[in-house]
Amino acid sequence: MSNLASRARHWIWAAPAVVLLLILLIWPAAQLVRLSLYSGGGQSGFGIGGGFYKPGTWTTGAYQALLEDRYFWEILGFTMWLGAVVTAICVVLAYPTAYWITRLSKRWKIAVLAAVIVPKLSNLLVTIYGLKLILGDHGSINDFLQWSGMTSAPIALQNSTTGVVIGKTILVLPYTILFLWIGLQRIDRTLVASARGLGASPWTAFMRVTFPLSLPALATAALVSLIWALGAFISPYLLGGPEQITLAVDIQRQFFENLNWPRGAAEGVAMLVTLAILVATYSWPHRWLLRHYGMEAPK
Amino acid sequence: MPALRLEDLTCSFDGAPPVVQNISLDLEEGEFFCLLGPSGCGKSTLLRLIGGYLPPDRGRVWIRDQDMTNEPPERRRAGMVFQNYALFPHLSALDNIAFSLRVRDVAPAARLAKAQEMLEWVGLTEQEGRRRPAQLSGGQQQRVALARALAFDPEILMLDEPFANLDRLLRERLRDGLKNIQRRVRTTTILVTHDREEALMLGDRIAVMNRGRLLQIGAPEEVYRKPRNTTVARFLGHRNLFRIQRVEDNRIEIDGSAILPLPAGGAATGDFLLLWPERLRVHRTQNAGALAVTVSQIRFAGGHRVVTTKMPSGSALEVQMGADAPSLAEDEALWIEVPCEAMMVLPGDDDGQSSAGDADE
Repeated sequence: MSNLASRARHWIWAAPAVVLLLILLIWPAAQLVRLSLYSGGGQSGFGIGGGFYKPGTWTTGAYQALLEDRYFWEILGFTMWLGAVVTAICVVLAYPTAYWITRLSKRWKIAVLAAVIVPKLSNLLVTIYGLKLILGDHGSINDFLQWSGMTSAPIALQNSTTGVVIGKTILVLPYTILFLWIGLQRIDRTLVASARGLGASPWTAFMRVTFPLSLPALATAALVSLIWALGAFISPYLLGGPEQITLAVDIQRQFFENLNWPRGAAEGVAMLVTLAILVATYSWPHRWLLRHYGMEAPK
Repeated sequence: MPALRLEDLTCSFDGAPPVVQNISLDLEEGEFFCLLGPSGCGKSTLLRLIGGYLPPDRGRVWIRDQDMTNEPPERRRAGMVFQNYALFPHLSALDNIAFSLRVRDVAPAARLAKAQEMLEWVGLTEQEGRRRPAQLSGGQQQRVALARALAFDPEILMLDEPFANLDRLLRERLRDGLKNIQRRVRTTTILVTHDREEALMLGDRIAVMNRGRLLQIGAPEEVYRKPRNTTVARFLGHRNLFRIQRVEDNRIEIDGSAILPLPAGGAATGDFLLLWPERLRVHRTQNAGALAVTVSQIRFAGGHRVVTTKMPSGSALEVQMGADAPSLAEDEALWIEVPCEAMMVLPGDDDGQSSAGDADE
């Protein structure tokens, strides 16, 4: 009894988070699922009585339409491709950066970490429009390329896949760096010293000690980046062209341009399911990595 | 050629006063050398300088006939046991031990055989060899670290407070084990510690270090019996140190009013008098020429008893008595006779300050 009571007391600490999750995540997600099961084409519009769906109906029509629609699969494919490419670029760029940060003196470390975080504190739209200025046909990059004679005409850095990838990478990169840095700075520096003393060159010490021990952090950073990249909306919306449609962009279009709310909701559910599968699948290799390269005792 | 030669080694961080100052030292082949000093005295820094983990401001490091001053750690062939052992958490104990051979591209069979041999040397089972560091106890981890540091037959073995994280019983066992292994492998060894007992028991020679300088180097007994000054004496646990206030004819005055005969070899005002607690004679009745004291504390120390007494001025004087000597009561009046062999005169600290207080645990 007292055990039960103490356990109940223990859970009280989780109550605010649970309530918040229920109100802000579980309930809207349930509503999204319900919305995806209406039949489309309602006329009620915004405001009183709901949206663009037929109230009171129950159908899997929206999902059937999704499965049969080649266009949807193309969008899903592009979304996944973009996620994978952005994640790969972020990890490759972030690893050396994060490693470099761990080796800085305390003062420089704080300065560089601040520089990594500050862009995330500025308004997203400001960042993207700033990027448009740089990437545009008359932006600084194209100006430089033509001035230096490397190209004769502007290359399409925006309204193209390149633009979307650059934009999304810039938005995701700080998270990748932070997650990798957290993992890398936890690795005991005397381990590297120890490896050197035992005869390992700096590179061998890195490959045999630092890198293996950073794998769990690398996996986490990659997953976080992938989740972030899969939700890409602003970058493809503002930096992409008609070819660069991600699931998030299409969901917005289904709701506000096609006025097909059940279809938009079904795509939203498809996205949630994709992410859930990813996270669930990820936990398996991650646990393996922790067992083999973790710094704590294997359980 | 000595196995290790340090020449005028000096190292400082960020313009602060040097942590290691003008250290010159020769270690003979196969010698077990203990560096004794309080925390922060620069002894770990000295190890890092020898190992090449830190560049010196000045001075040279020679290992055998090679100038290693500018060589990276991997070229120095100096095995190090770090204070936290620094075992690789992702490798088994055996793979940890074989690491130095792995990076030297020794064939798998040969390095496994060597690692197994080392594992046996430090007294670990094959089963324990398959475990990860986190699955081993502190004592086992320490032994893996030792085996790993010795696996590549280094020129020098360095140990940084290797027993600091272990409980007393285990510490004593592993200490004996280390001494035995060192005797067998005959690797020139340098051990850093703040534990005087450890240094005295393990070292062929010991050095007392304070504020980045070596104060005295010598055989353990020599340093113990003939400390060069009061700082060294305090490190070695000598507590009966009194300033000589007056020298007159054949007498000296210490501690306000206590008059003692002039020790052999003479003394000068300002010198210090060290009284060996085990050589003082205790009388329960008044004794001419003896110091009148009262008992303030009696501590049982196994084979003997340490009696702390209070001199008239309030200063403490320690006396060592056999366990079978008649038992004393607190506040009992005693007369302590100071024979010539119980006295030694030594100069005060180099810098006139007492900084050895932290040597007492």
